[in-house]
Amino acid sequence: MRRIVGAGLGVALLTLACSGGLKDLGNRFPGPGALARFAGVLSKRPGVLHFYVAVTGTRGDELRIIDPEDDTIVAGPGGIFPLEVPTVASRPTRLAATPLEEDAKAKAEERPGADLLVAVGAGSLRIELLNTWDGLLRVERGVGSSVDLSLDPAVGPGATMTALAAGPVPGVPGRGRVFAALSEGRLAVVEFERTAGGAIQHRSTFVKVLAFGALSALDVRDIAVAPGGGRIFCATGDPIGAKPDPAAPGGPPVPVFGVAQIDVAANAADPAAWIPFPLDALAPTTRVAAAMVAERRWGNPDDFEPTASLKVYAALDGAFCGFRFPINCGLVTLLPGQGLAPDPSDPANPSPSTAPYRAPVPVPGVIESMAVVEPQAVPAVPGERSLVSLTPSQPSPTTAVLVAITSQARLYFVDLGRLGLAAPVSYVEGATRTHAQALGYLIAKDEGDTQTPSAMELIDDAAKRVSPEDVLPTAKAIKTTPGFTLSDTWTATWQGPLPAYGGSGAAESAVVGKEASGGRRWLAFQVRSGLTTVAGPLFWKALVPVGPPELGLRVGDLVDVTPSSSPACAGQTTPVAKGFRTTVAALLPPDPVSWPAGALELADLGCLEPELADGATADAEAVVRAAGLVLSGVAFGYAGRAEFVDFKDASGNIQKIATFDVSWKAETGLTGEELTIVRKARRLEYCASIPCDDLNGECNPVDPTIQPGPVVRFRLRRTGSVDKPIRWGTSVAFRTTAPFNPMTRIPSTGAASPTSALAIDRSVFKGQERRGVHVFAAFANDVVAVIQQGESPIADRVIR
Amino acid sequence: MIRPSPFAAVLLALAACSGSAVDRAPPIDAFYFPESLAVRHLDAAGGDCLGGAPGCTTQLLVVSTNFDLRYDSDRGGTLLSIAVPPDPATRPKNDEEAARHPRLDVRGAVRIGSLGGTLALLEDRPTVTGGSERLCPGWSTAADPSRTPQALVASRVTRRLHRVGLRGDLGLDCEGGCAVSLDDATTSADDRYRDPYGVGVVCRGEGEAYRAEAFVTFLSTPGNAGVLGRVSLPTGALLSPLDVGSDAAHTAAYDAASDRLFFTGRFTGPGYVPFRYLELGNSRGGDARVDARVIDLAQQVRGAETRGFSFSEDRTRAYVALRLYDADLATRVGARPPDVGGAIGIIDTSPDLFGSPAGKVLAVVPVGLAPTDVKVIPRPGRRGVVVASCSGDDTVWIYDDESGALAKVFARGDAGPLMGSQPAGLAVEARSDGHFRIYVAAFGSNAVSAIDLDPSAPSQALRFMVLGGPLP
Repeated sequence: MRRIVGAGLGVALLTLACSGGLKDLGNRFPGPGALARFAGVLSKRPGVLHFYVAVTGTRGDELRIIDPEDDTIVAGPGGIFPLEVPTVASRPTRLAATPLEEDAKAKAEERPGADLLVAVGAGSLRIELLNTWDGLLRVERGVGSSVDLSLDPAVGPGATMTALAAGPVPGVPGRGRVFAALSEGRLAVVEFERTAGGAIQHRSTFVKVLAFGALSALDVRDIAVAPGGGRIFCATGDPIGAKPDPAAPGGPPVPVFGVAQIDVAANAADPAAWIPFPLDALAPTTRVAAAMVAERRWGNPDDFEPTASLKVYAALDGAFCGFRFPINCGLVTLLPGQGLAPDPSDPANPSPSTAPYRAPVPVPGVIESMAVVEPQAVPAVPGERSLVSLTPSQPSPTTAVLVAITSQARLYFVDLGRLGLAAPVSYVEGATRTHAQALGYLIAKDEGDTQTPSAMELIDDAAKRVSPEDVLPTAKAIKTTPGFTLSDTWTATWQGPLPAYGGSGAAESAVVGKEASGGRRWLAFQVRSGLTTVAGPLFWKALVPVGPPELGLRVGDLVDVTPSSSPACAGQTTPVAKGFRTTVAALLPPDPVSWPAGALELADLGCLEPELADGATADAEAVVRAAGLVLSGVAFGYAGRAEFVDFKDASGNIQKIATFDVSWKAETGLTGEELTIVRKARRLEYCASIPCDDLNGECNPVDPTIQPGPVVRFRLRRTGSVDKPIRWGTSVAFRTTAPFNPMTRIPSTGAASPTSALAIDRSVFKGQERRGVHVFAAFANDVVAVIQQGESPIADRVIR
Repeated sequence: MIRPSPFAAVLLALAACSGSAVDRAPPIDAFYFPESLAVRHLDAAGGDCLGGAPGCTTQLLVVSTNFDLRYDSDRGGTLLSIAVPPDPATRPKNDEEAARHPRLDVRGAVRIGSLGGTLALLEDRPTVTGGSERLCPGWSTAADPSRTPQALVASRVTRRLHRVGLRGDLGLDCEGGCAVSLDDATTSADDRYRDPYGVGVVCRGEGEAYRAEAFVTFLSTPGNAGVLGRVSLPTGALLSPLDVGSDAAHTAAYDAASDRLFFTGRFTGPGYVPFRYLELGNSRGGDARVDARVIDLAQQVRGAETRGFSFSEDRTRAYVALRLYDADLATRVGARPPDVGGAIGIIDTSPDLFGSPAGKVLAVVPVGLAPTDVKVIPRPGRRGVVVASCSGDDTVWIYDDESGALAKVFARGDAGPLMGSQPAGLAVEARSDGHFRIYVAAFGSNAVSAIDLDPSAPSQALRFMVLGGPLP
């Protein structure tokens, strides 16, 4: 019961009188959650079918309504306070709405009747039907209205609803379906129909189990309904099929993960006959959206396909993507009936770095919700193609934008037409282009060495030395690729430390030992733990494992060991102060008693040899160095090795040149270190930017925004006396610069945890044909922000 | 830590200025601002048993904080031992109200310092949530007669760690005051660490290498430094505190599987959301060499302050209570703005290439305001059910991590036995019928609510009993 005291009422009235709109009352949304657009008849416009936006109030057990034509909150009967539509279940968190005709008209007043709108409370199984047709928005409570799935014998009270969506029944005007995903792989299909009097009532409920053959049922995490309602797409973490293992041909099949596609137009009246089709996304999925999108064509990011086609966008489960998995994390594009969309690079100019699928869009954070902004239905200029342009900072209008709500409390915008994150800066021109810049050459010398040391230098394609201060030649000598290269600092070092084994700065704690009876000498990166387990004492605690190919350790590498306490080693100065240098004789697999994460068999124990008795161990610190030339990036990590090979130049002179090429290539058949580096060299994104790299004074003949290439590729030449070995630690360092600065939006009043977004086409309102599509975004700090086309990032409006 | 309210602040101020509260003893037959709790199972011989089985008594240990300092500030808090009554379903039908709101069966009571923090148990027993994990391996009288079961709780007022003996008959012992001062005698009063709150018990090793230590967080430190106090549990000696970074720690828990002590942190500024851990076990030089490492959640969750947390049974996920604030506003005003939301952050703690926790945020599940504690109910072969108490809007949220969906929300005012306001600490016990019980400390209502949950049907969780009260 609302209690209105005189003073409060006076203030409210005064505020209303001065503002002229309810959005200025300061009556905030009580925890806005889900948003849904529907066409309905409300008291604000008696007898007129109009578009509204429903907003769940997760703290208020109610819905509130926004009129998107003027961005005001629809008032309640008293005209002072917002219309509050109470729900039966507390904390409504899910909404679904749909027209009841697959070819519903763009303008509300041209539709044959009101839309279906349902709400579900947190933890509830009751699908509450909202009366959208008689002017008094409310939850219908009579027979043939709301549906409590917990009363359905095929569901039962113990189920949990995991997703909710709605769409029209194809080919049957006046009917719509609500798809409710339930635990234990069940999908409830709840059908509603419009009566002769214009009301909407429940028609039928069917519960089916979603499963692929003998596989266990799918737990659906999200549902997207294709425009027109003919197909639905289900994001799931469960296997949706099996396929041959590309890494082990002839071996047992491996599970397929991705999105389940269900054609609900075929056998429309018989959900039992619906058979899901697997869309392989190479990883489990968490969120899904479907939209009609026309994409850019190769060669020009502003040249779009003439017609749009159905695309499916799915967020990958962060636990099963990344460089240790078959696909990077992000938002993948799927083609209905097929699977991952292909890479869009030049089909006439194939490259070994062209992936078989389109790279996921690396949306920062965890994607919690998505909304697709499609072009406005009514062209702003009659006869011209409608495009989407959200802000001035977006490079140029596009065919569709996906708004991603993420855990970073921001909205990110994926330019679906150009296949990548909308960004305010260019990746291919000007100061923000993707490029490399040399930092310097380090020529290491032993103390007292006065001879010209043997070293190495960076050379360009013409084998000409490149000085670090020569910015432009450096950029040309070190090949980088927009979309593949990230900002990083790289070092190519002769006998450089491996990043995982002391290469990041401090030496790693380790233990060296000698097996009994004069056996193997070993070193493991571990410490005494003092732990016990039920299986017995667990003496060692591993710090860095030995053996994972990702870390780059090889037999023959050098190991610098500094014992914690060794009188015999105390006087050592070179190459290791107070220690010794030896080599890796073998990689020892994990032994639960002696070295739980593996160990290095050492060639010898140097100065420690006479001090360490058979079977004894000693604490130490250690660094592992590559036996030769090694490349690493601060962010990239271990990037591989290269060898100097003889190369005859134009003058017939023999030069020793090493080539580093960190490039993606087909992963099938690769294993170990090579597979890891190739996976880290995958494309990271497609750059929705201008296709001309003018830094080098030339326009690239191919499209640099999507043409594949190396993360880094460069050559080094030995200098000085090639007969004299290069001193360990001699290096060439450079930096790569690539902008990753995707466009984001937050309300100008401050932001906290966006909960959902919704695209609203304003062109359908009379007189607003030029206003385009706006994005309504609900934020946890009790506001709904409206982001409209052409506005700057801080000029949005806030409804509260 | 419970949300502050102006009313509580006034009460605190009045209590601080008044001398009337000095000698007032707290009630030992009722809860008074209960903050944290723990559950044990005892058979007739004081041994372990399964909750709900014949002859098995569920012991509920509840820390009352004396939050408004109505009673003696130094000894106004209490630790009560309660014998949980049988299920209401087993009681006579004509006694329904008594079954839903039974009389407190107090079996033991000990006065402790006011503003007690989290409660930790020190004994070599299986956890009451099932599984093979033990609370404190090696801490048993069989190994050493002095290693008797204890409950550990720190007082923010007295800056003492109370070590209360747990008897086999559900009684409590507190000989000699049973408290260890957490004040470092070598530091001046101005430089002392204040407001000890979280207690994490670490039991590891055996024989001469056996270590049993209590790690205590301090909510207030000079310069908001991250500090963990340490108490040797076999000797009771205060060990040198550990510097764990630039952010005061809040709640700590030991993961025996990885031999790491994880702890959450308080707000120090926007752009930094630390979930830290100590790599224990590097025992060079005879003492623990520690290495505090940081999982910074800010890269994926802007504007969050971490509170209570729990791990999945396989230790591949941590569920962390996140209090969400407007990070941009925090940047502008240079202070922690009010909460605008709450969430459970699901963090990937499976080992990465280097054996460290991966640290990736896998999901951020919206819950109510000011989430305080999180507990996980394990399910064989499936991801667990996660329970979060939200003191800001008087709700308890149940999330099914297998289906990735919210299963149930309990709110104050729902039908059924009242839950009470400001739910704070949680405790979970496995029952002989396969169900679990969730005990919720209702800080603002001087009560503990009990929720019955069938792990195969978490949406059917039922609040069935309230202990204590009265509920406002």
